[in-house]
Amino acid sequence: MKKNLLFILIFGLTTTSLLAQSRHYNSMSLAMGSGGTAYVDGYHANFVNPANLMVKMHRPKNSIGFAGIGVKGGGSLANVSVYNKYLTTGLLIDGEIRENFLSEWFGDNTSNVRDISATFSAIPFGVSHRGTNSAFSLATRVRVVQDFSINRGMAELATYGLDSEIFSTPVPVDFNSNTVAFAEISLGYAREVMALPDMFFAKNIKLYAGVAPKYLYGVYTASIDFNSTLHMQQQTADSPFTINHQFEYNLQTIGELSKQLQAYELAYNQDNSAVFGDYVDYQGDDLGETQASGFGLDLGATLEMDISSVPIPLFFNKKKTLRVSMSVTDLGKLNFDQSSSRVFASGDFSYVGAQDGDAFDGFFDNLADSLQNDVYGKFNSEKTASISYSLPAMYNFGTSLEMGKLLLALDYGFGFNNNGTNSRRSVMNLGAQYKFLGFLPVRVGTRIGGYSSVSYSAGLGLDFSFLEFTVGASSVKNSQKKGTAAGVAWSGIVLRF
Amino acid sequence: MNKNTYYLVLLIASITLAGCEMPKKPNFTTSHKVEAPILYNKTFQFMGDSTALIDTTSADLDSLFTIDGDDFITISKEEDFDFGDLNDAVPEVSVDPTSFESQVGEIALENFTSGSDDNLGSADIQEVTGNDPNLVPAGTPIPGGSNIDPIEIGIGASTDYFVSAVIKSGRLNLTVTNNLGFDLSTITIQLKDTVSNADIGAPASFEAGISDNSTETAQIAFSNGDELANLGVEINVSWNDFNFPADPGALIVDAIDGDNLIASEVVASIEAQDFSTSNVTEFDDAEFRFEDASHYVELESGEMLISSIQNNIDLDVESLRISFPGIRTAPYSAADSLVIEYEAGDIPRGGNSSEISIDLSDYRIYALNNQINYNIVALTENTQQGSGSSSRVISESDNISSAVAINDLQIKQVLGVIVTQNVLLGDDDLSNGEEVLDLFNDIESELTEIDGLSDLSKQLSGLEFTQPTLSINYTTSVGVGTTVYGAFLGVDGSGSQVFLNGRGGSDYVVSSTDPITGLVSNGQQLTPDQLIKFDLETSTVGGLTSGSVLFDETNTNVDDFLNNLPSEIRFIGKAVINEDGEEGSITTPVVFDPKISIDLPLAFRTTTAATFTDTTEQEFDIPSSEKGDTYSISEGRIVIEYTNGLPLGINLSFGFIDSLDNKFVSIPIVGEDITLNAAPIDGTTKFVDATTSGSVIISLTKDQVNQLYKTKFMEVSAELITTNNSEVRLKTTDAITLSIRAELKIETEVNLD
Repeated sequence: MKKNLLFILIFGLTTTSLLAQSRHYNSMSLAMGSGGTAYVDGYHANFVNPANLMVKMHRPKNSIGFAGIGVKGGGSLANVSVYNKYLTTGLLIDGEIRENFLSEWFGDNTSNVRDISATFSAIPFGVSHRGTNSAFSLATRVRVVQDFSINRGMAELATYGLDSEIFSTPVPVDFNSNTVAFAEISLGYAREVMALPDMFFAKNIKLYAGVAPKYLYGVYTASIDFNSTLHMQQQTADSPFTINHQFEYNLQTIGELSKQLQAYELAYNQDNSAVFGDYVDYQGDDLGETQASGFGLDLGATLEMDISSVPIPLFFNKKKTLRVSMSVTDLGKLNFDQSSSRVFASGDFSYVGAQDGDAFDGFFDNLADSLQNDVYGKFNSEKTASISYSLPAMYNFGTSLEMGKLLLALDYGFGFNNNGTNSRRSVMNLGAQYKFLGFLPVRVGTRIGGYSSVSYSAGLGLDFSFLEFTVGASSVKNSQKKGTAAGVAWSGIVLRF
Repeated sequence: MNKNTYYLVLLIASITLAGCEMPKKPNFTTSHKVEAPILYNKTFQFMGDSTALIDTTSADLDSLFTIDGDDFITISKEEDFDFGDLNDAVPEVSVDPTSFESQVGEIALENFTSGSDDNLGSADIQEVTGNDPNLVPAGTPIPGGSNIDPIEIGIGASTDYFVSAVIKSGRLNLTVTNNLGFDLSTITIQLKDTVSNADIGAPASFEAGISDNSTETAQIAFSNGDELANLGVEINVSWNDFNFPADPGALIVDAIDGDNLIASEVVASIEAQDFSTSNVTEFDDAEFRFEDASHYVELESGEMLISSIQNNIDLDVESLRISFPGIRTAPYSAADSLVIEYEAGDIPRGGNSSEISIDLSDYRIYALNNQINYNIVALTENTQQGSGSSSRVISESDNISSAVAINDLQIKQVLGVIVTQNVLLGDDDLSNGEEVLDLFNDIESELTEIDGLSDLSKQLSGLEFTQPTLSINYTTSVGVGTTVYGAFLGVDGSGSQVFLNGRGGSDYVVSSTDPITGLVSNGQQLTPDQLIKFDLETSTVGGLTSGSVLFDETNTNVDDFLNNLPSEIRFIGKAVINEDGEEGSITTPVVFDPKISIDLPLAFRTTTAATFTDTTEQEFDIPSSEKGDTYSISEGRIVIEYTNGLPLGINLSFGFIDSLDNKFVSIPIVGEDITLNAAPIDGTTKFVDATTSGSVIISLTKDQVNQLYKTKFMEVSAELITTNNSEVRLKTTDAITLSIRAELKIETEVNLD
């Protein structure tokens, strides 16, 4: 039972390594600081800025790609700096060291929350065509989004153990986890909506607009939200040792797991000797089945102009194209309505141990049994109409300046929610690409803000006009403030013609 | 851009990523505090149910304690104390086999003839007077005179019952009838042996004569040794003047009869002869004496065997009766005595009877002065069966003979004087000498372990009980005074020995003049101060009596003896039975059921700390860096908060012992202590009158905890100190309240290097 419950509660953790960020990226944009609002073209533009379907990046009009994938994750919980400082140098995490360790990781307030998020993104197939005045694309994408967060109280419990001195006053001990897996089929359309011949230093000004509605296909979702307050009272001659845990949790899931949990709850209510493991043994057989559906929308606009007349050192004679873009992505939500249920429990658990002279280890056995069977394992469940999941919607603004073989980009954005690696915290991305010989791109970038500390990225590969095979990676130089982030992406096989 | 630019950009990109933060291999150690209550505010009453310090409901202890009305506690333990039986006190009795002989004795002779006509012989008038009636006419006056020649008449032919006899005494009555026709004025008759013509006995004289037609009897006296044979008579008569009768008759010898005529030997047909014999057989008085007619031995079993009776008489024994007046069956009156009878045909002349066995079970033997009387009465056949009866040769010394044996006597009960004897209490191992008992010879010594005390003895020392007693409670069927001389040796768990002895001139003191020897310890004779004696109550005849011998500190050194907390008590002893030689009784089986009872009132003091030590097998599955565990306990504390309502302070120490018996960790370290202070007591009652509160901490360092995994045994030692080292008394309701919690710090090393 414990094993299964654990599986459910921390399901997301097991998938964290497969995840990435909310703004869509490919190997190019990841390497260039995870921006791309003003330069990601082709079928990838469906998910960043559909208007870019019309952008001419010295590539043929048609492109088709397979198996592009990327993983990116990070967050304040993944604090490599603190980790390296305290957990790699042989320190004994005790006393002042432990206190400093927690303070640097979580801050001083026990309510402070640190999270880790990740997104795995794969584009099994994409195709695009750029016409003279309009462009079309069809792209599929699979995303698995994971959020996991704990507060300092939870970390204190993990690092101190059941220490009645630390928990002598009520301490919040919270965590939550949310996992969503879904697929998208996006149909993009863009067209030139305006063209101006000259304006100031710019020439050949064009405004493209694009929209990419998408059908959402939900595969799996599970979320747990566990909030509690832990209070321990040290045993004295006048008062017993007491553990008081006021808790409330809410587990939402769908499909087979949902049915199993409901069956267990029903059996337990009829006979409290029902064994959790006899009813709940989720094997994931229903993964892949349609559990949810919905629609989403990505839309954007890109203003493209030729600013070759602007004198820029080293690039005086080079053609310079400036693009200014703006997009709103991932509008929409999913409704998981297949056997969705909510499992919830709340209680005020108070445990006074071993007054009958139980063996020392018996205390913990009793405590564990009590918790498992009568407290946390004693829950209610109810069917729900659906479980909604809002896509990690984001506002994106970006500019790119293409000067010959050099591409510079700047992006700004913020999320409308904190799902996945999405963050309401503003993020700015800077990136550069230089294509040696016209087909050997070297890319660098940085991301400032968002869900983690400043990250740096780079990438390279082969990027012919008819074929692309590139990779990118990003990481954080110092994760002390906001945690780390890391990501890798592979373009897959992209053919252009 | 040129080639160098390419490399420069590539270098920047590489440096950018290389400069990024990368997680290193983990290498740290966590420290978690684990805290758990073991007890909270738990009150342990000193004695009570399973929640008490001492669970008096447990099988081991449910009979160990007794409580008086004030809840004052006494450790009471009674154990069977099989310090030997008193079966040897039953006297062994035996009767010597004895033979008997019963002679015919003097033989009475009465009838000499089987005929009924009264004429053994006669003489006519011519033989008497010499006048032939054919020649002398009737009426012829005959002058007075006497016979010229003795008148001889043979009577042997007519005495067919008689052949001969040797007379010892008595007389023969001779009857004569005068039919001669005239009066005889005198007549003398001499019995004669017609063959030897010798006179036999004195002549019979009829002084007054015998008138005509009359019969007279005269007696012939014999001397001892006169022999009767070939009987005839010689008659001399005298007469006065008479006229010759017309029809004269004869002088007739009518009969001869014995008159108390006793013969020592006869050849004759004789009437039935009775004879009897009385005799005694001796009852062994070595162990039992019958000094009064009421004394007896009642037999559980036994056999009387009367051998074949040899008949040495030329006569059948018509009947024989052997009676034992002192051997009686219930209800044991004189009329209930044992009688053995033989009938006609059982003992033929010159032959033997069959052997007879009598079962003496349940018989009592009354044998005043240890003599068993018996009587034999016999009657022979009567051979005078008329004409033609055969003659038998019988001597007065002819006899019947046999033997009587009383065998295999097993006693059920005796009443009498049991001879003073020493009885061994216990088996006698002859290897160290006969009737020598050695305390340390496990064959001879009674070894008793007092359950509960045995454990206490091994675990507790230094406690001084102030009012201990030891008693021997017994049930006995011995109805005779018995004094037990014995040695009680208490040996505690460490081998310390204390003998129990009498004190203060009490009756339990053994003196050097007491009749006891043969009690040794490892071959050394025990001295009187190592011995104790006590008397047993006597039971009524056939009954059971319960008795008790109480050893307390006023009459013995039982305080020293029991404060030694003997884990075992060894005993050897002898019982002196009927030391005063008085009347008494014993009934088998001899019941002697002693139990030893120890009472240790929980009133005690400690002059120095009493130490309770217990070592138990104990293993700790505790992580240790010494055995390569990645996690270990860096610190351990057990916090004890107490409210002590016991009049005992407790100073705890713990020893952890490995498989090689090495104590590798001791807690606390030297100079520290873990003490729970005692509660104060009332100066008068010695009971607790308040409680004492405090707390102690048992701390284990990382090094100590690191070694605990080696533990195979754990030694717990508690020094118990009474309040102010004074005498205290414990009540069942005395209690201690404990709150115990454990705090551990667990360190877990994570190192992937």
